[in-house]
Amino acid sequence: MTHRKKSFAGLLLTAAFALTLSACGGSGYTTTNEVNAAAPSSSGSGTAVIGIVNPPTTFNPINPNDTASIQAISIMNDSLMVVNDELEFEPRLAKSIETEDNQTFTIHLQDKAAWNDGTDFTSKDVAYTLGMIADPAVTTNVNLSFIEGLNDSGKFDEGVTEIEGFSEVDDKTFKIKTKFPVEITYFNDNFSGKVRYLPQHVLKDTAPADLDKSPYMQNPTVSIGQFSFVKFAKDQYVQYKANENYYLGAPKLSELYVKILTAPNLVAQLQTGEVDANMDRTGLIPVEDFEKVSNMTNVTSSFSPISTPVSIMFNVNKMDDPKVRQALEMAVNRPQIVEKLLKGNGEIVDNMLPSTHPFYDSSIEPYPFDPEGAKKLLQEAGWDFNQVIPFSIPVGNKVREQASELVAADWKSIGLKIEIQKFDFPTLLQKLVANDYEVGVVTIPYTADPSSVFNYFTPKSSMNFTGIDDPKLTDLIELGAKETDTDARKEAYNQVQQYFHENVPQFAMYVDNLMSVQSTSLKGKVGPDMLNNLYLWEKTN
Amino acid sequence: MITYIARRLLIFVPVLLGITIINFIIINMAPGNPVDMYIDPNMSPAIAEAKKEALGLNDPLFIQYFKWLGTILTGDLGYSMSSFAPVAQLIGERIMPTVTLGLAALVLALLIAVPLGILSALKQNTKIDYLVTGLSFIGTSIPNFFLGLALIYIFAVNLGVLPTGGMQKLGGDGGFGDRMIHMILPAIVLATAIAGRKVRYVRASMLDVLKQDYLRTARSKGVHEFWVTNKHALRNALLPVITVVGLEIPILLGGAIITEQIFQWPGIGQLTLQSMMSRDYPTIMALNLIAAIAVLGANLLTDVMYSAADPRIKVG
Repeated sequence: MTHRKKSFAGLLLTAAFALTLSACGGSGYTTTNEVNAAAPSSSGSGTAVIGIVNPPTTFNPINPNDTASIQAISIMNDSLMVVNDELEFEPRLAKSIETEDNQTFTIHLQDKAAWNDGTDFTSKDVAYTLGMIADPAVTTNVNLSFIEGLNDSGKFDEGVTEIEGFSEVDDKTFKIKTKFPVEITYFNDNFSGKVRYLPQHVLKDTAPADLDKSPYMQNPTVSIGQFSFVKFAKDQYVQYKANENYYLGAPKLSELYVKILTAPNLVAQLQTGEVDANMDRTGLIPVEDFEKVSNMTNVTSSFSPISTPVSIMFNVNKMDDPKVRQALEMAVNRPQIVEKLLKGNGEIVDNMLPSTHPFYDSSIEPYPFDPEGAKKLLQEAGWDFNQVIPFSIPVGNKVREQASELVAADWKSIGLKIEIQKFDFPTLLQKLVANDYEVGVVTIPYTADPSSVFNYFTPKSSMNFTGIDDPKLTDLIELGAKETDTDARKEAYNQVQQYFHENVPQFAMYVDNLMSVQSTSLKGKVGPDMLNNLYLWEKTN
Repeated sequence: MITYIARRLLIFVPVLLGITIINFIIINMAPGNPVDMYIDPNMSPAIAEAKKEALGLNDPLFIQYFKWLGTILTGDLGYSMSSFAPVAQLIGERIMPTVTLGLAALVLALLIAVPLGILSALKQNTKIDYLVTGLSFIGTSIPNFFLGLALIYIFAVNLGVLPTGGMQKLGGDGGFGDRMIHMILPAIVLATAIAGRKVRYVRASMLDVLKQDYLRTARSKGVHEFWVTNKHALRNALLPVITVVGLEIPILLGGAIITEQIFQWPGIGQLTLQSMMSRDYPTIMALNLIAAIAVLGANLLTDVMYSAADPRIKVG
């Protein structure tokens, strides 16, 4: 925890420093890649296997619809920047990104950046990819609506074929102009760290409408990343080989596999040495196996410094009294969930962000467990204790299911009538989207930019699960998204978090720390940013 | 016989049509839809609605059905709504692993069940009979996931003699020997349950036949006991078994979801589960269509085999 506080303080300092720079109006925001100098080295040796529980469904770089697919794609396709485990952005395909006015961003690409077939990676590939993302005929879940010239869905309006906010300076430099000034984290989160590129020289003759069905998407052998795609053996593994042309230096491994397997098998194969590491977030080690894994002699294990809060969501139009919602939060014995269920490997936070997030408001104390206080609050609110509260729980994640049942038991013990309803995820998702529920459980993943989670709470979102439509909150969220000054942004999001604390449209049930495991024969970093530095991984026999 | 088969095949058409209509209605009644699965919070409700419109999800159900039927009739199974790969390709890649595993399990199960069933019937009410019956109960009632994990623990983790899962070694070309080794554990798991069920059928059926007069006649004519059992009795006893084995085929073709998952066997069962979880309608519909054809085909096959095994039964 001390370490976390330190790194958090460090982040604040960095943020403050960046602010000073932009406030001076001098050099603006600049970042350079320190590892840029590394020359491509000779080919590596050794094979590493990463275990994953959820299989990837697609390799389409501009339409990855789940975490596992994003991970499988990011091994072979770099973005301009990558996020490290302290949620800071580090340069990758971009050597540097500069802005003077927080609206026009100049991106300098790595001089050596080239596709794995040797073709130079240029601004034209960027222009082609952005054009495809903006084409109305192309299916993509990358939303570039903040770039000037694109409509609210991030697409071209009829008759438009070029992105007004994109301009090519030269082969290795381009500019992006946003519709309104944005803070650099917002830009990096929505653009630099998110967009991955399509090889124009391979796909230029494919009609936009046929792009997602193109054979390339099933067999993307031409890519720009640490490893190259070899084969996807359905439901078994994805095979990659080292990209000898990698612009930061050839990987030290010769081959990499992402192996798909069930959670019990993942543990078994870590034990037998068939798997070298578990994938962050999609290769979860079950809590009940924590002890077993930490006792294995051929692996080392640690706990990830960042993790996602699991939320209890209220449909504020049905559970419309903030006092009642607060009482429900106070009635939950969260310390017990963390101590007993997560065996101490977790934390309690108030709302959407974990304590390690740079935008987390540490001045907010989560409500303590206080069943008597909760009962009193419910009585004050005039709650009818005969009213049944349907509680919607998604199946699939065992810990989340068990924690939800503990929560229901806590609520029952203060006299509430709770009816547990379990749904598969697509069903629950539809209920959340349609606001057809009262109290529900869901995990909303966050990114480095806080808008990634708070944008769920405005009527402008298609995923406004709580159904909340409070102009005060909407204004705060919009202010947070559009503010260009880092400290002012933090202040806006602090107010958003304060609003959450007072009005409780949602509260965090728990944050569980995920276990990262790696075999002793693997030298390399595992955990949240493990995929950033695969090219430095080494395997000894 | 040929007319009979032709007539049955003709009846398939309206039956299949009926099955697809019912399937289509049920699938669409399930809450959730493919668009919900890939919208993001920055997207406005209007855009999410436009995506549904573009995929035809807002059309009335019967229009959606006829659109689907139209593409199917041209021999096109459509494209997956989650991976955008052609459905025919998705299924094509997985059908062979499922068929191989299913057949291997079925053959293994029959190799266990038939001799044990006969033995059990011949030694009725002896310790052997009780042992076989007991084992068959265990085989039937032991859950696949438990047996699968136990076998993995013993043979893969502790003894290290068999792989924990998959169909081929990493990066291997999946040669015959490699696939056989990978198939041993999942085939045993599937075969255990099937054998457990079949032993009891063979035993019961054999007991019925053993009481028949013609066996006494055969014995009194001096036919050796071995031939009485294995020729005169067995052929008749296997008749009802053919029916239940026939019923087993479509189940195996539908893919053994749990077994395939535990062993990462890339079969139809895994695909079914994934497409249900992403509400990938075109894939689910195609899988249902194949399952329906398998059931109808297996039924027809059973009837034909029945008449081949018993000259008294004439089809057509």
